[in-house]
Amino acid sequence: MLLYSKVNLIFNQGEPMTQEKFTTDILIIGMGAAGQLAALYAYDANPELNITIVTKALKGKGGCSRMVQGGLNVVLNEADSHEKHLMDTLKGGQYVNNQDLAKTLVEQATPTIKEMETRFGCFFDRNPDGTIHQKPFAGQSFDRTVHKGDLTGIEMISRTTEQVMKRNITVLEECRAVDLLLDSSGQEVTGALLLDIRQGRFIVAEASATLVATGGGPTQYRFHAPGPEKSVDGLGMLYRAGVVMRDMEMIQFHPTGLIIPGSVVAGSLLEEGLRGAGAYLYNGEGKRYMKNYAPDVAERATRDVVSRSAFLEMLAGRECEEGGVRIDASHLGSEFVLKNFPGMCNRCRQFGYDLSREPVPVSPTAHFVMGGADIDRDCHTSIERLFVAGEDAGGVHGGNRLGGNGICESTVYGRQAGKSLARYMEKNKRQPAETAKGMVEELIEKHTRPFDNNKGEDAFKLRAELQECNWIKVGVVRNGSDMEEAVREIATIRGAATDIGLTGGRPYNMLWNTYIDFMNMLDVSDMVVASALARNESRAAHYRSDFPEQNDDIGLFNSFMVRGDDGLPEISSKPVEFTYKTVEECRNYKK
Amino acid sequence: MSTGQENIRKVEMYRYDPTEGGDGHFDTFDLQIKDESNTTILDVLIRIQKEQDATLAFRYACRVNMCGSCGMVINGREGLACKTNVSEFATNERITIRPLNHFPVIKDLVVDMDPFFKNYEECLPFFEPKEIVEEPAIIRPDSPERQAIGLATECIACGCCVSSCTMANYHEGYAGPAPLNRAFTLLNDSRDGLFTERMDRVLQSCYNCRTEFNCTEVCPKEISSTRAIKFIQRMAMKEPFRKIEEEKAAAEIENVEPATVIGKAEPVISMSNNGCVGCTHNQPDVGRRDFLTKMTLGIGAATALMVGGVMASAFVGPSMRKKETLWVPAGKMDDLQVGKVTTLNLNYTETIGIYKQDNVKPVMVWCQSNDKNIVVYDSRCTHLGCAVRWDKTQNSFLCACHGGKFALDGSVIAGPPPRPLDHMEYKIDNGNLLIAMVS
Amino acid sequence: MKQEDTINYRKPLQWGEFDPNRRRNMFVGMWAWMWQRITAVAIIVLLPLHIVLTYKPWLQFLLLLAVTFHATLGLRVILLDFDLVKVEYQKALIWGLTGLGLVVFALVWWLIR
Repeated sequence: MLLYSKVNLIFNQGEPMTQEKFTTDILIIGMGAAGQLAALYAYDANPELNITIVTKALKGKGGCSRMVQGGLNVVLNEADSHEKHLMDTLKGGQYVNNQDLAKTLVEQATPTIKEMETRFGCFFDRNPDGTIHQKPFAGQSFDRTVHKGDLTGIEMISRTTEQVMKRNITVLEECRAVDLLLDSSGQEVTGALLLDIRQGRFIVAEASATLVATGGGPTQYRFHAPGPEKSVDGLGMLYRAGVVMRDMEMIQFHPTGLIIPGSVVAGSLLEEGLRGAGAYLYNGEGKRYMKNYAPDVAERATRDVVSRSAFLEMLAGRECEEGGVRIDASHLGSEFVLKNFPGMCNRCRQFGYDLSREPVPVSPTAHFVMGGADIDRDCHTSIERLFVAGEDAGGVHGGNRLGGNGICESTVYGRQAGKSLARYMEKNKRQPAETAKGMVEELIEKHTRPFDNNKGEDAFKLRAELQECNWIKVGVVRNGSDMEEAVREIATIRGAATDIGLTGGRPYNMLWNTYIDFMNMLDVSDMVVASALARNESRAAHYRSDFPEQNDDIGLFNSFMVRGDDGLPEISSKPVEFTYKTVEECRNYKK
Repeated sequence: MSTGQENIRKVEMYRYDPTEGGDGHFDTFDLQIKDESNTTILDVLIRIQKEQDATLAFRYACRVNMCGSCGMVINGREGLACKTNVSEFATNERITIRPLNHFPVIKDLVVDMDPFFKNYEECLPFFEPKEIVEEPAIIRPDSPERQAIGLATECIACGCCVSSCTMANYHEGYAGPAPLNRAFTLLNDSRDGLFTERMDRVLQSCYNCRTEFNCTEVCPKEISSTRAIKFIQRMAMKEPFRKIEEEKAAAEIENVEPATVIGKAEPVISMSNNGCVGCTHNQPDVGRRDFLTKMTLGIGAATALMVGGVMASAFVGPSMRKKETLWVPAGKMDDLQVGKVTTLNLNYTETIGIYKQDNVKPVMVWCQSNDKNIVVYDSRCTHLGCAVRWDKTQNSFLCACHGGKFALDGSVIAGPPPRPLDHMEYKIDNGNLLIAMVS
Repeated sequence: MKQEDTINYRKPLQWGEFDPNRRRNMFVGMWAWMWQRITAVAIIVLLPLHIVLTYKPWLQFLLLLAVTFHATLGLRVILLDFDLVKVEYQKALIWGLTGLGLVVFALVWWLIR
């Protein structure tokens, strides 16, 4: 099966450490929807392939796909069309999407979701007549969100995880990739350096093809919807490997993150379906403020608009006593709310709120990274042998993601990647390229450095500082001077990070993992702020108080960046390609 | 928003360091908690890790009850750390946190879930389509199968149920609650094509449940695995009949149209092009199952026959038998003392079918006067048939069992007997007393 | 590749091991199960004793009591097994049936006494 050997490396002041090494055909990093579907489709296309999934958590338990609440947007009804879904997506993204990717998304979503049901055994909620039920979501011209109650991710990921168990696919649990490995030219990925969290040892995984599907999860903000173990690992890794990234200024803030003072659960979502079903938002004065920002659709506006409105209300001092705004679904009838949103009601009840009968305090919360690696519809990146799918990839959603398009992207592009990987393995030799000499040793040295450090800087403290800095200066509402300051502040934090010291043994050292998470967050923060400074207008999720208007004369471009030699991002920009729809068509599209 | 008061909590934490080994121990931390109703056990763990001991290891991911990573034993009960609030425990109570049972401990509160997933896979938890179709099946939400499955598919595999189950670790081959729950959902799914194979896997396993409901009580998703297991047990009862019917149907097809058999797809596991791992090995021992089924049916039938026979002979038998009066000699009339009660033992042989039994039955004779004026009392108490004896000092008949007391004339003086002592027929032949035994 | 264990995992903790709070936090369903097993053993002991030592009221009392518990709890499991009562009501069944059993027991005892 897999080649397996032990190599004795000398590092860390001459202390020898055994280090594992294995070779596989396809290495998949991340075990959310994208990673799992890629594995399943690649395996089904060619069961001969050796496929290895590595995940930071237990199998199928990590990642945001499992945390999906609302559901996924897909065209199933005859009255609906891919055209409409595409236009909704482009309109939601304020035209800066990669139209090819967006088109693939909406067109492939239909077969993907059908296969989730017919091949992998998901069972989504049904209409009384037995067909799949689709519920309304914000920013859509048609009720097209397929769901399973209000906790859709559990159904999807449980089923696909079982399918992975069924097939001969190796899963390495609690084994996180810390960095991608490159050949000497830096143009081919040879695999990844893994950290086996349980054993506290490094593993070199060499693969003929590598898929990065870790998902993003912008936890570098104070309030964040994804669980704290999501930490933009994939984006950091890709960036350090020299992959071309795009649209990194686009960070989505979800408008309804639950406010729970002092708890790690703070920032977790109340799903969009509530607004879809007609819940109201009130500011601290008890007024429905959304009418002032989006007169036509009010609460059913896209997430960027609703988040920004809430944030502006809060800035204007019209916040509620808990420090946010309030969402109220009580007028829908408590029975309706309890029946349709049982998961949300339970979550609120745990913290003493009664969603079905009273307003619940919410705040915008960092939710999704629209940017990411620049890929084509087959998930190729700018580097050979490297594929990216899911949230790690950018361009599908443009400036703002529609609710329900996120898990849709993960599944569709997971499937695309799986098929593409199988094709790639057919065409190419099943033999990994050779890793550049000394790279592994250098990386291991870098990631174990804090163990030898006794300056004792606290990783938790620095992480909190970074989160605070990002939240205030590169958050929902940004401006040029704040961001200039943020650049300097991030650099200072990065400087302090070299003094971080780690205690305890290496096996299951959570502090060590926090440190690695934090280093990834730093890299992504660099990218976000650099990219945000390059866009001198407001567009979708990117809102600048010094340029509050959307300006299509200067704004129809995408920022691309690679990591420069000095470790800071080098930015270039390209005009948006209107491959299928012109900017006029997008602008004039009415839902 | 609920209010909770500020409080210093003592938190006892199980610690195990893999580099040191051993049995592990408890560490105690003091933690000041501002608002207990808004503080989860996960918050407590994170805060202790941040503020007091960075080497503490625990596992969590989503923090909103969706991933099932943070299952642990909190004050003696399994639960998700993110779903348990500190305010659930009395203000002066210590919080004791300990890893899940039945799983190897990696470090502190982190356990190795492999045994769980091994059992999980053993139950074939994965969907295998009956046939490859393009469109999702039309299944009404109020159809019996979906009603039966309900929300049981929401399981997040946190392992709390297995930890709480006292049977999971003591029965080799008991898959445990969550795996059986998953098997149950698939067994009821009309789209699934692995019914027979999965049934074979869970048939023996499902009877190890002792109906303790521990798994149901601790499940953070409020799924009742007990219900699922009972459901499988009921399905399993129909299994032998289903097998017979299938065989019959197969035989009929063979008899009527032998040609179709050739084209018929093998009802084997892997139907799609997916190489199905975990299905090919471990075929169930059909011979043994057949034997067990037959044994069970046989023993059941035998027991039923025996019980039925005994009941029939006890209730119906006596009335069907011909009543025969046997005159048993009890002794000379002259031996009886006037005005006294004499206890006599009747020796006689009773014939029950071909079986002869020698019996001794005591009777009590009250000789009222010399003029052959006697009463013969049956010594059976009219309450529950215990033996009654003559007590000279109390001048009455006493029953030892429940304190029945009869007067000399046989009437009830005290105790539970519902009627006076029974009289027995007698005749006097040549000065000999003969008493009638009705058998 | 297999995830090999190079560090020592502690052998699995057992039910109740290192668990000072477990026993006082046991669920009523588990008590019901244990009580039925205990009364089963009691019956096995008391029944032969009853045959040997006939007509001892205390023995009869104990035997009848054990039989009452054993029968009511057994009846509960049968009702649940065959879905004659929904599993949600398992706790109500314990109290209800045991209570009913004890009432019948008291009546019977009062009658035969």
